[in-house]
Amino acid sequence: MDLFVNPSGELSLYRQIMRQITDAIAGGRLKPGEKLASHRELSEQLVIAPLTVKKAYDELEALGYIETQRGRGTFVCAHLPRTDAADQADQIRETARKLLSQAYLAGLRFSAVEKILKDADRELTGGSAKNTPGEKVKS
Amino acid sequence: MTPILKFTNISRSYKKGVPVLESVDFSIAPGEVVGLLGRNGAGKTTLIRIAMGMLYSHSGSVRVFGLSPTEEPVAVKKRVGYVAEDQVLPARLKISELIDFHRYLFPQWNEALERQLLDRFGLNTGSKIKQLSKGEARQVALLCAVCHRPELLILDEPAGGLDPAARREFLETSIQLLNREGTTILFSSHHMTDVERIGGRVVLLDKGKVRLDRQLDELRDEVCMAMAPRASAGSAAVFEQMRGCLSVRLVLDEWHAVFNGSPEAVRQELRETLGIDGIRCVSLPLEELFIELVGGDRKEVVAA
Amino acid sequence: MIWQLIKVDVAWRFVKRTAILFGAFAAVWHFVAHHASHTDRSGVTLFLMFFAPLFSLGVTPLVQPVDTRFQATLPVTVRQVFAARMLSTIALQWLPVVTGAIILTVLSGPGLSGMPLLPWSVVTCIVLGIQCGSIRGFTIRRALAFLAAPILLFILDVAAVALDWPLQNSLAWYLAPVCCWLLTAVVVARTWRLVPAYFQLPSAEAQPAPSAFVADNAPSNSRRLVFANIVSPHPAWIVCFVIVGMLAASNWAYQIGLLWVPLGALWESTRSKTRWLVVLPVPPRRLLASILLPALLAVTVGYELGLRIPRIADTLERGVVVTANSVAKITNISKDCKMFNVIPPLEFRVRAQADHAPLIRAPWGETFQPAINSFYGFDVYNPYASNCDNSERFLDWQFARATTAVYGQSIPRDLAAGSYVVISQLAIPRIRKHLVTIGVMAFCLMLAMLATTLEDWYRLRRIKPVLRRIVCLLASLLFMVLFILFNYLCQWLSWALPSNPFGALAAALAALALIYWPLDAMFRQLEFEQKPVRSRL
Repeated sequence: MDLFVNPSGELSLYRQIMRQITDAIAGGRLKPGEKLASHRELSEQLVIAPLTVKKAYDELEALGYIETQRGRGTFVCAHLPRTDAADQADQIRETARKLLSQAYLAGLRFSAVEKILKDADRELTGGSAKNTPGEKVKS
Repeated sequence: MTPILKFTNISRSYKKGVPVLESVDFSIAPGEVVGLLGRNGAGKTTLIRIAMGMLYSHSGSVRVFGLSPTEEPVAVKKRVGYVAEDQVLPARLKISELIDFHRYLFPQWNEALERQLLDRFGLNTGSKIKQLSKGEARQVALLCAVCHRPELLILDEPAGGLDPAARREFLETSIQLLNREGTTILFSSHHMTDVERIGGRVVLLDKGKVRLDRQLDELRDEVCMAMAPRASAGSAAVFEQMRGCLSVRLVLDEWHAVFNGSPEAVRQELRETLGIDGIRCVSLPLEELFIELVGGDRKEVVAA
Repeated sequence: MIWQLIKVDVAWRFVKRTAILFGAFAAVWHFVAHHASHTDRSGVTLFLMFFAPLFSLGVTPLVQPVDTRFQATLPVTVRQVFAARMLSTIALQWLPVVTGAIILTVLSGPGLSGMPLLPWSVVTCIVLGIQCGSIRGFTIRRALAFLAAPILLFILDVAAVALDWPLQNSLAWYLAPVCCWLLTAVVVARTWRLVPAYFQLPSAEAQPAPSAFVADNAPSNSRRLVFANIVSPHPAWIVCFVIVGMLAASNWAYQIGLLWVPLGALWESTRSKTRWLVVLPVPPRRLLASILLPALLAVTVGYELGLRIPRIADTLERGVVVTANSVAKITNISKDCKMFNVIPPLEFRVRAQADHAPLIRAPWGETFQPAINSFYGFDVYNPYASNCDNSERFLDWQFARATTAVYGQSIPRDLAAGSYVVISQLAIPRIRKHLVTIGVMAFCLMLAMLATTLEDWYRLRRIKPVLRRIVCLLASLLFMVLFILFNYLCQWLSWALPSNPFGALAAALAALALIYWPLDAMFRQLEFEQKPVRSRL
């Protein structure tokens, strides 16, 4: 899978990697059980320090998104961490309110925001919404 | 574990009263990557030359692999690879002759790596060194420094004056070495993006003294800069007295103060000290941090 | 404007230092030369003459083109640069020598007849000619310049000197240098007119198109060869060393001081060439050996060659001499007595054990009591001497003995040839003298190396630059003293050392070890700080 890092970006490199991997898992581009590149391969591919990759992987492992199987490599967890969907929904509602407020202040209408959301979805999932790991949540 | 490179209280002055290095003290563990940063003339090259035994320190000592590079130069240099921006390779030799010479000096030469690098760089081994461009000559120097499997790689602005593609190749080769051989790397550079890529630890020299010695990740997460309006504080001392302040400078109409700590904690502290809420605190990319810590003051320019 | 250009010209920047050096040398010469019985002042100026041209040739034609590239960007015309260069070269040629000559005059009294104008003018003209060539863009291949220059200069120097002495005080002696200068003026004027108004730098050498990447699998040279190839001195400097060696065999043996010039330049070029070696695990000792051994070999070869070339060899050492008149000065016998004496090379004199020399007794009973002379502080006598009172038979007998001792076989003499007879066959000194001379040259070489590298020694680098230069100057002067006393030292040693060659060798090695040890220690402690200088060779 294609990762991209920007050394002068706002986030430190390992966080950028973490963000991109979690995005990919969220969008379904990385399926549970899929094999990730090894430290060495990723560091040589991205031209960054291997320790940075290791740190990103360690954090993701601590959060439960990936797991390392000795001798076989690093894989996306088959069962992703169960977070309470209800709690998350509240936070997401808050974020949505902020987003709409920002958009309306900028003069965008709801239909424009909808379009923006659709584009983002396409980027995350690579086209097919069926890939997302989540379940339907009663709103 | 014994450090691979250990500087103990190194001092050197150009003449009386003009120090080039002052009480520089740090060590590098095996497998570490350390970036030596600093302005031109801060003493980076002098420090590196002292590590290589090319210069003597006026006080203090340096130990490489536990040996003194000035007293046992051959034993030390057999295990070290060195590439510098101001290196001058022998002009009359052909590349193949230079490689042969290195092969003769270093019995543990890695032929496979040599072939791979020659392939990657696309060098014609029959051409003379004086016919090469700067980038190609630097590639040859890197090849010669790297193929004998050194335990310590010392790079003195290796990518200085190279185009971005050549710089990237350099970085790739260094990272490959890091991965496959576990080489310890000490390098000095002005390209902050390269420093951020290769990671590790950062030692910042300012006028010969060690100003900062932190892991790169910590710098991004645990150091931030507050930008307060000029009117909020009468002088720099207000900030300097605060806990965790690394540097303060006045940039046009704003105070830029660099603190140890996360942005929220720093904002809180500023609220308590200055009584102003919502001061912008940002984490800095390395280049901005460098400029804040060792750049000069930029006072307001009075309109003519 | 021209003055400004002169001030930044590289030749001018050396004038001050060189003038001080020559002045110091002249002073040292004055005080030391008495003991070495060298009162020949023209020898001094000859020595000085050698320095400056080699120096100018070494420094200016190679560095000035680099300056040209910089000056091409300035708002100056080519003619101004040309004039500045001519003037500063002339300054570098003449000012230091004049300084030395003035100091000598002040110390030894007037009488500067020892300053040979002709050879000096010839040398100046050659250097100026080369300058003219270089400003017009004729680039001589560096290797050729360095190879040809010292040889050419040497030949011209010797020829000029050979012509100078017989021509002295004749009209030709004044005319010849004038002609030289006129010729130079013509060349300079022509160059002046032909020089373009604007700088045109020669286009960069066309880079050969890189051929397709071909793996060079040819087996490498022997590893030793690769190393030697890298650090060996340029052939031109080897020639300089050979010439110096030849001089060691000659009457101008004190010109061994010239050793310093090629050695200094060799060290400079080596330092820049081998800066890249500093970061490699090359033992410093090997580097030192690779600089010293070729130089030593070259000097030895030069010495052996010089011993065998008739004109070069020392008159005192040329062969067995039978002489009439000059003996009177040595043995204090009245001039009326037309006597003949047999004078072998100096090393065949014997040290006197007692107050008077032993009586020489011929098989038929004739005797002669040789006088004791003092040579270099030793009391020696000539065992093959004879004088007025002795018969011709005695003379023949002594001559036969002398030639047997020197050449290994008895050679008949022929008195008809004139008031003195010289055996044209050169007497090659015995092994011991060779060893002693080569040993002393090696000592001088190492001492010169010490003086040259002293500047880079780390302990010295800590003190102020001014002090550092003074220390180096003092070391150099010590070195110069040794040169002046070179003959003295060689002869003294050859008499003082044990008589068998092995004993001499052992003593020589001990002395060499004595100088080698600090040199080796210091060589390990050099600092390489400056930005690398682009190698001029």
